[in-house]
Formats: sequence, structure tokens, C-alpha cells
Amino acid sequence: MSEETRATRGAKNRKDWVKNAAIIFLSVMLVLTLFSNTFMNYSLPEVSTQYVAPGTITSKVRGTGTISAADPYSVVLNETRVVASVLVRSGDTVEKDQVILMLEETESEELKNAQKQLEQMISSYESGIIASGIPAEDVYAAQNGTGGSFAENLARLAELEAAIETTEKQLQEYDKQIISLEDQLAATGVSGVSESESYLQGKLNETQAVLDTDIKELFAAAEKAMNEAQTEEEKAAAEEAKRYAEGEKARKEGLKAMWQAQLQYIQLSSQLKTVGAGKDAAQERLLKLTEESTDLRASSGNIQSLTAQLQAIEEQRALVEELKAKETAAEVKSPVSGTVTSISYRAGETIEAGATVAAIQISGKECTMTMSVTAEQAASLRVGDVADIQNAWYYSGVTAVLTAIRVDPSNPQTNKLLVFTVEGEVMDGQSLSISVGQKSAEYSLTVPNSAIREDNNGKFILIVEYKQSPLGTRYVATRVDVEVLASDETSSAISGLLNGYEYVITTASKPVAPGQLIRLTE
Amino acid sequence: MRKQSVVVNAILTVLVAALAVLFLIPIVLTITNSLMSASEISSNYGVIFQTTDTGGKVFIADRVNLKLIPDMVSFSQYFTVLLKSPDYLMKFWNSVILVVPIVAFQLLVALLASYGFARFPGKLKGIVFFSYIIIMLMPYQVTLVPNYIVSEWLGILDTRWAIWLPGVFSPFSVYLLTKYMRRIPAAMIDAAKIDGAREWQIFTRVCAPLCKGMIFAVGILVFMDYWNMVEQPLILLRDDSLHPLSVFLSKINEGEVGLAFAVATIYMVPSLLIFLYGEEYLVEGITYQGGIKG
Repeated sequence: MSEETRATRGAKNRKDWVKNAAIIFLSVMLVLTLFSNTFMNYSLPEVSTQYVAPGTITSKVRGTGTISAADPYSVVLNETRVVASVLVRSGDTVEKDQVILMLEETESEELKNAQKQLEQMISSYESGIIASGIPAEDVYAAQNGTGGSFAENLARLAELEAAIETTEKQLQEYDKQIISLEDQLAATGVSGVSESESYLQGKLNETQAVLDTDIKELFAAAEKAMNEAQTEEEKAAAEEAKRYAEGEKARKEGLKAMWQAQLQYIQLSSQLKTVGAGKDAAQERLLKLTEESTDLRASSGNIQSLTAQLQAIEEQRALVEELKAKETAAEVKSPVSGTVTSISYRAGETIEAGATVAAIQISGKECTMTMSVTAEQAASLRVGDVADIQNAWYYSGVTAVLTAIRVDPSNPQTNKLLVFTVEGEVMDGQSLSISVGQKSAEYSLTVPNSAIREDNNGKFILIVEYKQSPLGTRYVATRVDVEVLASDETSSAISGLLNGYEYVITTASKPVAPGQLIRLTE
Repeated sequence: MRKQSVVVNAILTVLVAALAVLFLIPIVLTITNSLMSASEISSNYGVIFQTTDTGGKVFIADRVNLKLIPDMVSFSQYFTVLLKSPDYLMKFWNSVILVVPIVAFQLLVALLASYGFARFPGKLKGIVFFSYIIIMLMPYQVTLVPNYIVSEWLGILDTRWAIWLPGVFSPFSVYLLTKYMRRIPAAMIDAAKIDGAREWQIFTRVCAPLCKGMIFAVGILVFMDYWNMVEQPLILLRDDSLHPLSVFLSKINEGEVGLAFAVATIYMVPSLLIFLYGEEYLVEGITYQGGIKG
């Protein structure tokens, strides 16, 4: 191969290489151009911007709450029944006694249970009477209601106990008297007297008369003879007469004492007999009273127990009758006029006893709505503020007034609960969006709340700075530190190194860092 | 005598090498700086170019710090240029759209015109050719105003035609090719005539192939010239979206210098490839002394 040929081939190879390189370069540039917008959209965050502009910040509190009826009436069914059909829907207006539910005509569980219980009670009542041996008269008395009331029996029992106590005291008194009389009898020293009392009294009176007349005369004659005696003999005779008189007096005194003792004996014996008879009578009475008391107690208890059982049976029977009566009524009626706020059951479902079938908001009663807001927002509000209803065209004639500001129990540190009284065509459970508050002020620099960002160095906004480069206008996000002066739900008033006509970044398709290239939403 | 020539050669080699290094430094600087990150560029050239591309932090060097080796090689500038900014690519294609028709049609026009100047006698021809030389010698800025007025009169101002038309009828390539064709020996054309060739055949079969090297050389020169044009688009195209990339490179002090390095690096690729492709034609064309090889 000649030198020239080699040189020609080398030049050709180089040309081929350069040609390929050029083709590759241009192809790459072409592909990049085709995908240039795609690459840019993928790599640069797209941002929405807004002017920093003067504006009014109205510290209105906005929010949405759920309306709850102040005092909804709950329609409760006290038996387990199956719903046949529901005649009203939530939101319907119902009149009093309007049928809201139809029930299937099946014997309810409650009725079956009540009947079974009634049978059991009667059976237990009857078997109880026989087993416990309650007297038939008590049973009749209980059945006829002649057993007297408990209070009457109690009063009677109290009387009896008082009488028993009195009688027992009398008995004790009689015993004391008997002992005293027996002592007195013993003291008379008489063992027995056969004469009658009148005889002895006559004897006593007679002896007393002798003592009062004859003996006194004897003493008087002896005294006179003593005084008249002049001689010794006469004196002696006079003394003899006196001694005789004394002796007679003593004898008659002795007789008198004997008569008296006998008389006393008789009298005491008679008293003793009387007292003994009284004691016997008292003992007998005590016995009777005790017996009556015991009887009354037993009888009263029996009657009471039976009466209670009978009463329970009657009540159960009434319940059964009531359930039977209800069972025939296969409709549930609205007890009040108002708006149905909720129907808990559908046709075919079983209503458990005691369950609330429907809730009815009574006509004319106002509703309340609660809404949780921050304490700062709550501070700008006063009780009595009238709220504006959002989407007011949807709610006609609805008014909401702030009636209370309470601590939010779910977040007591930071939040407050606003309670509104809502009047108008609203329903329990309905959502209502409102705004409330009036304070507003003008600020020279306001931005949307979404433009405010925050990091460790404080709050800032990102404004769009543009550079008119030969490659076109290039937009850069630039940080401006700001201080938020006031804010409402949508805008914030700020102060910072701003001229007032900058574009501020509000939203971005990706996180935007200060200094980053961005593209604007077209 | 021979020893003396060796010394001279050595001195010349060193001098030439030093000059080569001196010429290469800007290119190397451009390529290596295009691999630096934006913050590094800012820290090196911050005095001149303060930018906000560094997240609000401004690195300002006390003086311009020409660095050849990046602290950390980063292709972020290339990513920004090629992926985050369609404008660059559009301007690149603007350059291509402006330059390629100019080169192609200017060569065509110049080839025909130069054949006429070289082949046909006439009194007017000399005057026209002289005026071509005069126009060629004038700086572009001198003809810019008439160009602008004519473009406006034609209603092509602010369109690519305003660039294309003056470019296509540029006198530079006419002059060079005329001078080249005049060197073709008359004997060769006469031989063709004797062989029965007509004028068109003489042009296409004899003159044009003989001028192939010169055409390439002139093509490369015209491409370089128009690839780097700044004034024409600046004046005649008010719409920024029609501007070629060269305009951006003329305004690097307004934009990000880091991007400018990356853009310049990419921008030199087409010129480099064309030069490499047509290098031997360029040399051949410039050094051709006339006559037929072999």
C-alpha cells in the first residue's frame, strides 16, 4: 500500500468519524429540543403567584358545624317488633298521631314472657298457700280485702301491746297488795274467825259502850269514895273499888282488842279475796291479749304477703293485657308534630325493646350548632354576634346567633367551642357553614395565607424575581423575611422589605427553596 | 551551521508552543469552568457577576479568580442548559436555521457569480466586481443601516429573511471563488470545449469540481462567520425568540456566567466538527496555486 493511499484512507476514516459525531450531536440536540418542555416541566416547580397588594383583613371566623336539635323527641318502642314498612323519611314533616311506622303482626317476645311470668306467679301463689298452711280465713281476707290494712293492723297491735303492758302492771300491783294483806293478816294474830262481821262489830260497839259508861262510872264512884273516905277503912274500900274498876277496864280493853282484831281479820280476808279475784281476772285478760296479739301478728303477716302476691299478679295481668292491646296496634304514631330528623330502622329490621325508632325535631324549637375555633379567633367574637350563613341562597330564612363561647373539651389548651342558636328551616344533623365577626382593618401589604412560609429563622414569603437573560426570562424564587401583622382565613397582612408590587408565590407543584428556578403557571 | 539551525528551531518551537498555549487557554478555561457548580462560579467571578442562583447567599470573590480545575466537577450547568431551559435549545436551532441556508445558498450564488466573473469578458463586469470588493472591505457595521432600511422597505424586518437575504448575497465568497476560478487554466476549459462540452457542462464538470476544495474552505469560513454573527440578529430581529445562540454569548455579563461557559462549550461543537470534517479542504483551498494535480 502506497503512502498516498494510506493518507487518503486515514482522511476518509476521520471524515466518517466526524460525520458520525455530527450526526450524533445533532440527533441529541434534536431529541433534547423535542423533550425540552417535558424536561423543564419535570425539573422546575410550577408556581402560582399573586400580587402583594393593599387590602382589608377582616378577622372573620369561618367554619362548618353540625346542627343539633335543642330537644329532639325520641320515639321509643318498648317491645321487640319487626318493621313492616316505614312511612316517613328523614326530613319529612309529621303531624301529631301521624303513622310513621307499620309493624308486623307477630306476638312479641315481651308478651310471651309476660304471660309466662303471670302463670308462674299464680302457680307459686297457690302452691305457697297450701305449703305454708295459711288459714283459709286469712286467704279469704286477703282475697276479699277485708284483712285490714297494714296500718290498721299495726295500730291494733300497738293497742294490744299497750293493754298487755297495763295488765302486767296490774298483776304486779295485785301481787304486792296480796303480800301486804297477807302480812297484815299475819299481824292480826288471828288464825280464823267464824263469826260474822256484823256480830263482831256489835260486840265491839258493846264493849266500847261498857268502857265508855260503866267503867267510867266505876272510876268516878271510886274517885268519889276516895275523896269522901275519912277513915282507913273507907279508904281501903275506896282503893279496892278503884282497883276493881281498873281491872274491869283492862278486861274490857282486852275484849275490845280481840273484837277489833277479829274484825280486822275479816275485813282483810275480804280484801284479800277481792284482790285475788282481780288478779285472776287480770291474768285471764293478759292471756287473751297475748293470744290475740300473736294471732294478729300471724294473720297480718299472711294477709300482707298474700295481698302483695295478689297485687303483683294483678299488675302482671294488667301488663299482659296492655301488651295484648298494644300488639293489636301495628302502627307507631308520632306523638308530636315536627320534623323527622332520623329514622333508625328500615322495613324488615327488628326493633329491640327500648330502642329509639325515630327522632323528631319538635316544631318551633330552635337548634344549636357548635364549632371549634382557636382561642385567638374566639377572642375576636362576642356573644350575640350574628353569623352570616355561607351559601345563603340554599338556606332560606336561617339565622345563627352566637350564644356561648366555651372551652373545647377535646382541645382545652388552644381551642374554644362556639355555640350558635340556629333558627329557620334547618334539620338536626345538617351541616352549616358560617362566618362570624366584624373587625376589619386596612393594610398596605396583604398576601394570601398560602404564601406565608415558616422555618427556623421565622416567617417569610417567596417572591418571584425575574432575570431577563438572553435565554429568555428566568424566574427565581427569592426569600423575603416578613412579620405577620394580622390574618384571617384567606389573607394575611405583612410587613417586610417589600415595595408592594412584587409577585408572591402562593402555591407550587413541588417544594420551592429560596433561590430556586421556577416557572410560572400560564 | 547545522547546530545553529537546531537552536533556532528549538526556540521557534518553544515560542510557537507558548503561543499555542496562549490561544488554547480561553478554550480550556471555558470547558473546565463549564464543569463547575453555580456557587463555585460565583465565588470565582463574584465581583463581576453577582447572581441570586445560590439560594440568596452571594459569594463574592475579591478579585476575578481564574481557575482551571473545578473544586468539584458538576454537570449542573449542563443540566440547567439542556434540561431546565428549552430556550437554549431553541436558540441553538435558531442558529442552525439561520446559518445553514445562508451557507448553502451563498455558496451556490457565489459559485455561479464567480464563474461569470471568471469566464465572461465585459466592461461592466469589472465595475461590478470592484464594487463587490469595496463592499467586502467595508465593515459590516457600515452596511448595517442600509440593510436595515432595505429590510424594512421589503417588509422582512424582524423575520429571518432579513438575515438570510444579505447573507446569501454576501460578496466575500464571490470574491474568493472568483479569484480561485481565475486560476483555472484556460487550456482546461478549451480542452473541454474541444471535447464538445457546453457552458453548463464546463461549469458543472470542470470548474465546480476543480473548486471543490475552495468551496469547502469558503463554506467553513462562511459558517464560522455566520455562526458567530451578533450584530445582524440584534439589529434586524427584534423578536428575542428568533435570536441565535451567538447573541446570548454576547450578553453573558447580563446572565449567569456559569451557564455561559456550558453554552459556549456546546456552542463550539458544530464549528469544531465542521472544521475537522473539512480541514484538508480548507488547507488545500488556501494553499492552492492553480493547475491540475497529478
